[in-house]
Amino acid sequence: MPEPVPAVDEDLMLVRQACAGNREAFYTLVSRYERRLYRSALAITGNAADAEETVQETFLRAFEHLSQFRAEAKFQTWLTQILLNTARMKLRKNHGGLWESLDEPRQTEEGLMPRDVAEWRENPEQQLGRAETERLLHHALRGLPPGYREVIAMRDMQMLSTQQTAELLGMSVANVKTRLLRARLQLRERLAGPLGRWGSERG
Amino acid sequence: MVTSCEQSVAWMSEHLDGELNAVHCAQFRDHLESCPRCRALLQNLKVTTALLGKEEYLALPPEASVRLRSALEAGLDEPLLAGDNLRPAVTVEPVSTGHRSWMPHWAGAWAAAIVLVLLAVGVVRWRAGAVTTSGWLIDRHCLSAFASHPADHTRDCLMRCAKLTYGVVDSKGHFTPFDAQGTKRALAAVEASSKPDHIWVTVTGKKSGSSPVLEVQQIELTDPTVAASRY
Repeated sequence: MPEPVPAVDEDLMLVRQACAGNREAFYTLVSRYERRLYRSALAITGNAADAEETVQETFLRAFEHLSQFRAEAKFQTWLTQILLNTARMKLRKNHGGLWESLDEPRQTEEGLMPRDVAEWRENPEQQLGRAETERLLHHALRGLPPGYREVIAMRDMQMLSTQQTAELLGMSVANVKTRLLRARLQLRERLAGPLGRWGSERG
Repeated sequence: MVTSCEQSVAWMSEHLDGELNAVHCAQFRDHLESCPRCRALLQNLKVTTALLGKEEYLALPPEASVRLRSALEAGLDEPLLAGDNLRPAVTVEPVSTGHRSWMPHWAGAWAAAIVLVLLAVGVVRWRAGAVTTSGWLIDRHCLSAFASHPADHTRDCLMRCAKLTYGVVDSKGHFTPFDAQGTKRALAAVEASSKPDHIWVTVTGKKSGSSPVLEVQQIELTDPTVAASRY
């Protein structure tokens, strides 16, 4: 389970200390959020080197503009907005025009119900092993359009609320829900090969 | 009412998030009882989201965490000073609503102070009727492309635009076109900038009567990754 989100006040206190020149306070914030941000960055950019750079640039930009952080906002949300913008810029730089063709799938007319559905094992890693399960997950995420990867990173990895995700992505709550459903279904579809095969062999 | 599989699938994500309302939830459960396929699909989605939530997957490698700290250690010194110099900027900002101050890091305390004094003098001069707005700098003819794929908006695209009627799209998606002089100044600023990513502008100008056109008086390019943050 992801660790609980720390109290906003505690973050705010650290931000104020960091603004006043306390380097340790800033590093406490880094330790608190680096793992969470890295997972999202990896999901969005699709590779470890880009994810690492994205996190570095995010913290540098955050520190540089720390005095602009407004107390009424959540630090995690502010940081995530910078991460999202940085990751998008990296994707655009590295993949150029591919963004457009990858962004939204063309299958909107099709039904959402997949053709073949078999029950999976609750903990696939017990059968496949941790490394293989992680490889499958990473591979499946990389196959999703960027817009789907973003919504999954925000909701299922950073555990932000639908409302927060809507604000970060500049979308309505209804659109976030629709996109999240499609993203999860498509991810399931991509995992269904290996995980479903094992499930049916077992059965 | 009989719930179709299509409807049941459409509810699955909200059900997983505990966001499905009570009426739909009851209909969804009824459907699941009679539909093994939807039961299996829901179970698959639960496993999928559980995998995504496990912190040990796609985890930050310890060596990357060390590299992050070295990179931060190397990069933090300068911005810290720049941040200190910038703080007074907030107090001399009489015009704007939602205006964000930004200064290059290389500007020392004195340079920043001089700029701020000049800015303050200028601000007082055109204060009456002045409007300040921030957003993406964009050519009016690229608006629809921008709306569907904002991430594709780049400086190259900006400079390629043949029509060249620039304006600014604010965070609410509202477009304010510039006058011809403003477009010229914006293009010059973009061309002069050494930062290809800086296509976010804070612009001050005047509006005459009911015209939507902004008569641009001052324009400043900034880093969109931070400026575009609404928090």
